[in-house]
Amino acid sequence: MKIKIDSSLSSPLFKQLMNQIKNAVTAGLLKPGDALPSIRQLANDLELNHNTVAKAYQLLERDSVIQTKGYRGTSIHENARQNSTVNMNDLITTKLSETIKSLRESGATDSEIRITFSTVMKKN
Amino acid sequence: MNYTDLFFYIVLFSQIMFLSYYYPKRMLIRIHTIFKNYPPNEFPKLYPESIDKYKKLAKRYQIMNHLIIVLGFGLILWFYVTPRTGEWDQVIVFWYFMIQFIPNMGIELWSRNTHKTMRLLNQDAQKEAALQPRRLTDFVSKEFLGTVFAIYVIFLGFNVYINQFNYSWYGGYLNVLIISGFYLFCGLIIYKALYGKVKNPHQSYEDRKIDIQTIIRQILSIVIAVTLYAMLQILMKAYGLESFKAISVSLYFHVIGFLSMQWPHLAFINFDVYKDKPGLTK
Repeated sequence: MKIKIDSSLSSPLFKQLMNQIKNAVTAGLLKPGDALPSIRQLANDLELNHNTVAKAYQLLERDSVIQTKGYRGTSIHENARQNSTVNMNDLITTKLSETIKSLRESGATDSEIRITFSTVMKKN
Repeated sequence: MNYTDLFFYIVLFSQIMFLSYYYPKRMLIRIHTIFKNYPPNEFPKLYPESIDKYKKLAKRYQIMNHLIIVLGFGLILWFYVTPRTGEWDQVIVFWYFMIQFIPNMGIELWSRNTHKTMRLLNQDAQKEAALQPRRLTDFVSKEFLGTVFAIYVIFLGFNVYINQFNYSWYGGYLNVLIISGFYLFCGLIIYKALYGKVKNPHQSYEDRKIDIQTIIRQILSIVIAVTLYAMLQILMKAYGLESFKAISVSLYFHVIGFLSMQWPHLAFINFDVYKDKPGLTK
């Protein structure tokens, strides 16, 4: 299976990598347990910065689409197919929308919400 | 002149003709076939610079090898008129091989510079890669790897055996250190071939895999040859066969030259990747 990235597109490169891997899992082209190339190999093959591929792998691991097991390398997670359909951006948008709505109903201003949000982000 | 000297002249003549005539001839045929069958007007990405520059480099390569042949014949004559010295003969043959190697280093540098220029000029925004990990065993059999390991173990055992005789000339475990260092160095070359950066930005992935396989097999074959040769040298010294050392080193260079000639056939290389594709520039 081949992966393709296009640096002329507006979508960040790490996002393109993530989406293609998720799409491949959803389409059944990648199955649970299938090994993925190392960050070094994929970065060098695609002529990308290692950090770009590392970020894509990190986020895919966070979403339980892939798993890394030390020297055994990276492989597709056993529940990757159902986890690939979860869109983190949609989840964040939904949760934040609910929270902001609730805070506004409590009387908080947009400015207060924004400042407090930044402070809490920095603390955590 | 005894038979050993005669055999030495024949083997040295063969080394001269094989490495400075036949090998470059094959290389030049390959280069000119590419120029003829894949010209710049149809395959512009193959020539990041003017084809005239590449033709000049090929001519220079040819001339250098011709000069080295002349030097080789002079060397044979020198060996004929001077008395044989065993150890020094071997050293001279070794350094002549280093000189024979120079034009091929030039080809290697030419290739690297060409790839570098290709990378600088490449405006293709799309990049492709296989989503499978590359493993050493994808390119060489476990049996071949096992053979390399076995020969290394035999070499270690051989040095332990020789060490008990306390030869004054024997370098002891320095031989083990040198050969181990060589194995490590070759391991790094193999690692770089497997996982290193893409050199030729236009090369298809299938052709890259063939290149990787060729490099790995050549390196491992050379590793075996070097180890066996190191043992042979120690044995020849132990049995007082110094007069054959120059012959053995010349034959060894024949083997190295032969191993280096395992190029992929041009018919199996995908040259379509060097054609211009309209609409792909940024």
